[in-house]
Amino acid sequence: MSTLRRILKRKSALLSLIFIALITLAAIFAPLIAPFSPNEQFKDGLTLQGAPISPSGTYLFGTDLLGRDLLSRLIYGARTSLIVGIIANGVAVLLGTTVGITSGYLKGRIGSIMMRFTDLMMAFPALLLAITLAAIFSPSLLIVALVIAMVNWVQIARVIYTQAISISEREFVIASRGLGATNQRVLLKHILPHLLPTVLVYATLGIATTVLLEATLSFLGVGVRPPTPSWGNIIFENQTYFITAPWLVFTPGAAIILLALSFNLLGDALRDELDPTQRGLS
Amino acid sequence: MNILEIENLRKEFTNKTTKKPIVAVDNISLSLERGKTLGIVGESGSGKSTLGRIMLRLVEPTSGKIIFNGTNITNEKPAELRKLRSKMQMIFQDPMVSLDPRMSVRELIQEPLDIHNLGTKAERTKAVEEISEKVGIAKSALEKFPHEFSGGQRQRISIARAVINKPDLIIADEPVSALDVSIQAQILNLLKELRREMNLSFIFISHDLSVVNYFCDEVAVMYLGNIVEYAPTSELFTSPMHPYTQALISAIPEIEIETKSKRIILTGDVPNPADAPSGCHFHPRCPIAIASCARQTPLLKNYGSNHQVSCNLVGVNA
Repeated sequence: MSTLRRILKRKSALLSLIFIALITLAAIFAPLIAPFSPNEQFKDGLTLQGAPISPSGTYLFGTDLLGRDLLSRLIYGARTSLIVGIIANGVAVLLGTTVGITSGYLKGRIGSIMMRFTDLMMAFPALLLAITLAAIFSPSLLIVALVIAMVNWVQIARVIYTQAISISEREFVIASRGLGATNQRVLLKHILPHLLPTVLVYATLGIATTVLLEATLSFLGVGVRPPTPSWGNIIFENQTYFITAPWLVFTPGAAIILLALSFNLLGDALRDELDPTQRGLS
Repeated sequence: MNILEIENLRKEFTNKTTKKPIVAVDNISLSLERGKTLGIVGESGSGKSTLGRIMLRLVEPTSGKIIFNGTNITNEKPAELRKLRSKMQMIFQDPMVSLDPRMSVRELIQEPLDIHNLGTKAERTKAVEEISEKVGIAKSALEKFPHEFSGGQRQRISIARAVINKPDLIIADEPVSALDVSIQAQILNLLKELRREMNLSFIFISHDLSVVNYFCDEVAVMYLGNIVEYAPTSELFTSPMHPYTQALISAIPEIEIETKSKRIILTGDVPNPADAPSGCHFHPRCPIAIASCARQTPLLKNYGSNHQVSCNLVGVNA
């Protein structure tokens, strides 16, 4: 039975996969699905006192502080959040893993230089760095994603580095070098597979933090430009209505949590199924 | 021609906090004839495993020479060394940690062929199946993973990995020490069979004298990084000359009570190599030591045919 098949046998993993697929489809086909344009301010979108309208027949999830349809904004926001979450987090994991694993395995001077650079990056306040970078490059979706990646890869590199050191001292690595394996082979065939659980945890957990960091950047005006919706900036825009119109904060919040949870559960399943000693135990 | 010669090998480790050197292997010279087996025995901490790893340059020596098959490999560049590695293999003590737990048995046994890029895909598959049959791993078990096997079976996997490239030299570091006694015999017999069929030369590192007696042609006894006695197996076991060897041999359990000679009991433990005793390293525990042993460092000298001993008192008393 293939790994994919075994993963799909787990209920939690299957549900997660379905949820992620639904969100992805919604993001791709947003113009077809969304009931309204995400940026249109409706005349009847606010009460006479100027407060958002609570969920009703016309506006299924209610309206936001500017009288825009929340459901449409959520559907379009999925685009931003997914792109940022996947690109930013993907680049961060890739970069962090590469730097961590090579400096951990090579040690020596190259390893030290790489790790000192990582320490340097770590010493910068992450938000300040992100704001600076975002200010230098004019903010587009891709730039925001890359800025977030630049901030996030550092911790991953640190953790991977320490693990790579301990794995590279294990006897099967010495045995493989004794057989004449090249560094490249040892790294890819013996060290990387053992780092997979950690990498997967970062790849899945990181999605949530990335989405939130994007929201923070948007809030500070260096992220996604309004009126383009993202789940994060929907929360921030509407936070003043937290008491009177809680759905404005809870629905995007729930979307972020569910997406993060789905990636997490899927990551867990993948980790267990890829480890032959754990396979089929849980 | 000798398959392996080492000359004046020395390895120092430096204690990172005290900056004091620790001599793990002290000026050791040995040679191994093709097709023969040399046993290296000693207590834990005597430097025997380090010596074995230096021979393959898995640990770099501080000084000395390693000559493998006529080539001086002491300063060989990594790329050249990698090619030579297919001809010298290592079997580790504990296959649970020396076999990558994430690889299937087939991948593990095939790894040496993959690394050295030998043969086509079909030839590799065939070679893996042949060798696993020879070492006693069923073809149906090849897709399993190391943790699904017993200790003895796992060691068979290590052995298959070591011999699939048809090497000249195998360094076996305590290959049976982690196994039950009944399994030990099976594994030793398998190694003997392979040695005969493939004309393998062995460096056999062990702390178990009866195993060494069964398997080796020559034996070197190590104590704190030095060789104290080096002789053909039969001679070493019938007439050991160094007091340390005598004590070790007297400690082998025997079945016939009447023939049992008096056991020589050594007091104390192996000293800390960072703070090795002066003169003869063995003198604080030696039953026959005299005052001058604390000052005078003994040299390895020849007594009779190929029987070398490093003791100040041998030859003086006799």
